[in-house]
Amino acid sequence: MQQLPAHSVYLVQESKETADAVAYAFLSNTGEPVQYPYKYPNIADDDVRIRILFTGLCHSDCLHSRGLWDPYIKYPSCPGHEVVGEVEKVGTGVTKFKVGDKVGCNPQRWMCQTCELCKKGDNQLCSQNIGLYDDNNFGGYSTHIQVAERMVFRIPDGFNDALGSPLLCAGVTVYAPLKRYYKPNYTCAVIGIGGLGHLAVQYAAKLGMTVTAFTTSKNREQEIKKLGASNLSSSIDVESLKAEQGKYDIVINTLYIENEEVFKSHQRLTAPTGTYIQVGAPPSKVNFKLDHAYIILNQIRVAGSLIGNYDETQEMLEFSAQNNVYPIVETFEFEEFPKAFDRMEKAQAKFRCVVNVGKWAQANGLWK
Amino acid sequence: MATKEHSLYKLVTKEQAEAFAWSFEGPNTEALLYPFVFPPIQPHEVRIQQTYFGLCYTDCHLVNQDWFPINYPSVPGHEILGHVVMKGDQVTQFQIGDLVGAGFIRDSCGNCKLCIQGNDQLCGQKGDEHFIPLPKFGGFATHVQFPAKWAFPIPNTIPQHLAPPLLCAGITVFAPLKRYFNPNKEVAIIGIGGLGHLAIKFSAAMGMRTSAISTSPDKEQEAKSYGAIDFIVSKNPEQMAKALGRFDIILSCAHASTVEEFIDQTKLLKNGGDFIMVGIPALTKVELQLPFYSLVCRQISFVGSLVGSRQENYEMIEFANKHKIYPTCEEYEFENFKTAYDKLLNGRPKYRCVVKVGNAPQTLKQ
Repeated sequence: MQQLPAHSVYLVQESKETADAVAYAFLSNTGEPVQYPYKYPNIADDDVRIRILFTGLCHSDCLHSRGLWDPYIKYPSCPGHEVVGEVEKVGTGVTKFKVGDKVGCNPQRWMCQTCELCKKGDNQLCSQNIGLYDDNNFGGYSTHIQVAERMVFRIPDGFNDALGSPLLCAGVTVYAPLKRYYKPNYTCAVIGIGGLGHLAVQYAAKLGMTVTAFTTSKNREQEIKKLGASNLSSSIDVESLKAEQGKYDIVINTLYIENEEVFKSHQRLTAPTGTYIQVGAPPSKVNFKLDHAYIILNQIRVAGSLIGNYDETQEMLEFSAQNNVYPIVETFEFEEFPKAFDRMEKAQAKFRCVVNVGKWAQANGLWK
Repeated sequence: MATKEHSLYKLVTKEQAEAFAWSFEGPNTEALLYPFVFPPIQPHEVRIQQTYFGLCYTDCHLVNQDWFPINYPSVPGHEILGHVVMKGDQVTQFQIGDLVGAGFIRDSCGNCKLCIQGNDQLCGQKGDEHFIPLPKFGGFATHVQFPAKWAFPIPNTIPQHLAPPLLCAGITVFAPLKRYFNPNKEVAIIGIGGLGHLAIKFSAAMGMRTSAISTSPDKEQEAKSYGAIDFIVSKNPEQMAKALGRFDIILSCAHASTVEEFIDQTKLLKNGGDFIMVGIPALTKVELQLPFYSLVCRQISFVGSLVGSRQENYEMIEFANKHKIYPTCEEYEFENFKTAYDKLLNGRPKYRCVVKVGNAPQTLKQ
């Protein structure tokens, strides 16, 4: 077995026999993630240690692990921020959860609860926000994760664990802004029917809006209509986009398109007094060009949105369970983590990759 | 004197004229005196004899085709104030002699979703009849004729020589401030000019903590006299650094001249804040753009606002009257319109040019 590098926080182990957990960690910005057994140094008073059942893979994981966001990223690095699991252990001060509770984690690890933004309820914008994974903290590509109770979510009864982990990032990312800006009977345009978009179509339809899916794939009409879209239209054909100008009360864009004319046409789908929501972002330092003339003359809002706050995330979980909104997933075994990551990195997944962590963890004695 | 005739307004001799306009026969040309008669007044219209009218840079953009091609001759102008001298049969809300004002919007249908929801300034059903300054004759004239629906009664407690800019500049900043108003919000007004100086007054009078952001350090006292609690010089990196993430609302009343300047402005917005845009620069001007990362991960919004609905106009007039909010104006005689227009186009008026019509309708006949 190769000699694994030490981590600043977690205590690397020679094998899983002595470990609290086994992660799949990147050792550099290239190559595959490898198994990384480790012990937790401690469990803080307010920490919840979770046995992960299923982990979703998100493209953010690539951007992080390959050093595309932060070229100075420290390795070993363990990403993953779409977690569904059950409580294994709690710190002495934990009151919200008990051992055995079904819980989830979203991309946020910490909120201060004292700053103005937290008090307003927008903890995802908290000045002290920490991501679920970073240089110091391992994320969901692991058999376990340990997070402060304030950022742990209750998984509602009847939730489909095997399908639901991607909701903790992809789901809330589209649910939160749709819910924030929608009205029933609104017309809604969803641009880009991929990981985010196929969930946005479902949520928008279940919220009572009439949904048009904007996509490049005309041959997926039946499948996309089954998700709740009433119509399909082209996301890149300028003439076709012009014909749809001003028709949609809400536009949610999961894409970034380099062609300026096409991208402005996306903004112009927005109806007067409507809202355009941007959730897709390119990895590099690219600028969003505001179509200011259209924005002013039609009095529209162009809004960015980042995952969701605590309440929005919790609400999304309940809404999803009640309305049967789940992603279409490809499921992999724990030891197929590298394969799952590769499929996601190459954007081949339809639509989200999920790893069945719990099965391997239990079979390999990691549930202590 | 004008030579190009408009299809609706018969060009006549001075002696025969019902009214006099200042018309433009091409982009980047001088205004020419245009004596004319109106088409027959329609049942829903009023004809106003103006006392004073205002000039707005939008009029320059229109005349010079900065946004789209227009037909000539063009008589823009959309800060209108005067007395009703004629009205159509269906007009019941006004009497001859009433003092009224009008702004950028000429007409709305009243039946579409936007009208019914109270956003009648956005009504798209009226085609060529939507806006006052074109293609029909607008406010650069002794008289204006337009639907009574978009005429607003003006209380006689508002000084007439200061009132016209309220009908465009005033409503342009009042409407979004009111729409996004919250007593706990920190507001920043960027640009202390025609729009900005009124915005500071309105925002402060609404009770919001209002700061002014300007390139000119010497406007500080003035900004504070309008009610600003703080003054930030945008060219001062230290002051800008201190103000990072400070404001819930930024109302931009001045165009950033570079992308970097625009990005620096957006950095003053709190996460989750609203950046309100009201002024449309020439389409060739630098684009307003910012890193995707900032838009998405800071969850900020850019919201547009276009003048205001009729309801918002009534409220603005009442609010301005109650709080004595008036613009700072430079006054010109009707005969010197070209000087006023040139000052607006090429100079830096402080802060709005207003033309006194006075008895020009009589004196020009001679």
